[in-house]
Amino acid sequence: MYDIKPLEEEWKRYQKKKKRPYIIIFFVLVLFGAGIAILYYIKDMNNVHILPTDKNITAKPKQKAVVFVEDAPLKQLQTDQESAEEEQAEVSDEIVENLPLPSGKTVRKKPRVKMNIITTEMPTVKKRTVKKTKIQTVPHKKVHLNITETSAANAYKEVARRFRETKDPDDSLFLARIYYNKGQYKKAEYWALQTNTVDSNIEEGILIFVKAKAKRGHRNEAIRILSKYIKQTNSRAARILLQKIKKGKV
Amino acid sequence: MKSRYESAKNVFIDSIDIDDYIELSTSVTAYKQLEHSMDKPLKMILLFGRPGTGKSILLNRIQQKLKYQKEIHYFDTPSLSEKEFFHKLFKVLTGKELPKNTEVNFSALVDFCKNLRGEREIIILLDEAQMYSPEMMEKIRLLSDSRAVKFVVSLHKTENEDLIAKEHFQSRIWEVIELKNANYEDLTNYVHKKLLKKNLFETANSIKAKEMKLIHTFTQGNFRECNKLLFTIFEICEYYDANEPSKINYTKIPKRIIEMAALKLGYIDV
Repeated sequence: MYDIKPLEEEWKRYQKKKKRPYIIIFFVLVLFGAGIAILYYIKDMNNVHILPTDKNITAKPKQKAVVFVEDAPLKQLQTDQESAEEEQAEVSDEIVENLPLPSGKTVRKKPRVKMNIITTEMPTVKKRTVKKTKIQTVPHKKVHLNITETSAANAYKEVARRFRETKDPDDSLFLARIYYNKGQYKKAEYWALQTNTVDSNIEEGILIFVKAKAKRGHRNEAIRILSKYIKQTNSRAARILLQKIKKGKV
Repeated sequence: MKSRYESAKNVFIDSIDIDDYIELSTSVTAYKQLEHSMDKPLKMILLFGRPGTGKSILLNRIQQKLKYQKEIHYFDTPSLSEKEFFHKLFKVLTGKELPKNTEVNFSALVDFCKNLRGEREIIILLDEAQMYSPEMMEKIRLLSDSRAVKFVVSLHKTENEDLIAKEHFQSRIWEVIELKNANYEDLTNYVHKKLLKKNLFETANSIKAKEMKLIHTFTQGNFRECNKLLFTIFEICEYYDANEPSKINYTKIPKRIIEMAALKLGYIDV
């Protein structure tokens, strides 16, 4: 047999030919896998964009919202010092009514890591924050009413810091709610105002603001603001609150 | 010293040597069937199958086995002309050579055969019958009608040959025996028995089941193709044994060599 070398070459070519379908299948699988990975990536990206879009959707009922005050500069916010708070409160107390609703309001992205930050700072409420992450779609559920006093201060600072970065109304509303429950009505008023500034359609922000006003003794102003809000929205909760304020139950 | 692969290669040189006959379960069945058919008062028996299924060796085998019991003659190569065929037949029937410059009168031959009825029973094994012309086959049929001469006609199984069988013999053939390609077990036995017959035990053992399956796949169980493939495989092994021993495994015939042989024979292509 003298033609062994060409035969060997032919056999090598045959081997390549035989492996070709497997190589093709391999590449198809790799491409398929890559495609799936890209889809997931795109899906994740979309999720990031969806949140603000959803907010726009929720904000769609185009009722003219009540805006109580011009946005106070956040730079001046010093939540940890009482003196600074006083100054801030004075600024925030200068509520300018009947300001037009900001129509071209920019929608802020909701960072998805916000709850993680809370959990790192607040190990005692870790379990609750995990739950919160799971039910992220349910709004206003992240209130940690059982936060212990010792760890809460740091947590509130952290939330306030984050709000300055993200302008997330959930954060400001959370602080408003917390401070109101704790009886720190100035702070509650301030954070309710911030909430209203970021998103004037959040009713709870307005109600806390009014309640805080009433608690601080500005009953008439509270009634006036609330009456105007009821006129525009005919909100049942607002009407009940108005009755309570009038009866002096708040 | 003769290479072990050279001996193995020579085992698979395609021939119809009766010494090379390997008894397999299927070939034994076909043999018995043919023998049994020849005992019946049949005029013509058709043995058919694809080339390389063992028709010729079966006819050869039966002639060798029965030659002392029956008046049986094996026409291995087809006669190119009628004259040549009748010369052969004359010799078989009379035991004499036809005188020079004489021709066989077909009518006289038929009459002669008719006269033999009851006295002699002559069996003619006609291999490669597809080579005979239709006219010749018609004359063979007339001779078989004498009932003194019985023909076993071996045909390749192709579409045309099936047609010949149908057109010329359908009403006269009383028995049809079909030979088929070997299954995996039979082909394995065939290869092993062939090698063991030549005392090539180690070589027989070097063909493992997996490789045998590959050989069966390539040859589709055809004995002639199997002979060709194994011849080429051992030829390649012989080359490596002599020139590049590092490329050969003495305990196992590598798949690579089987594929190389298959490439050489055109069973597979690039």
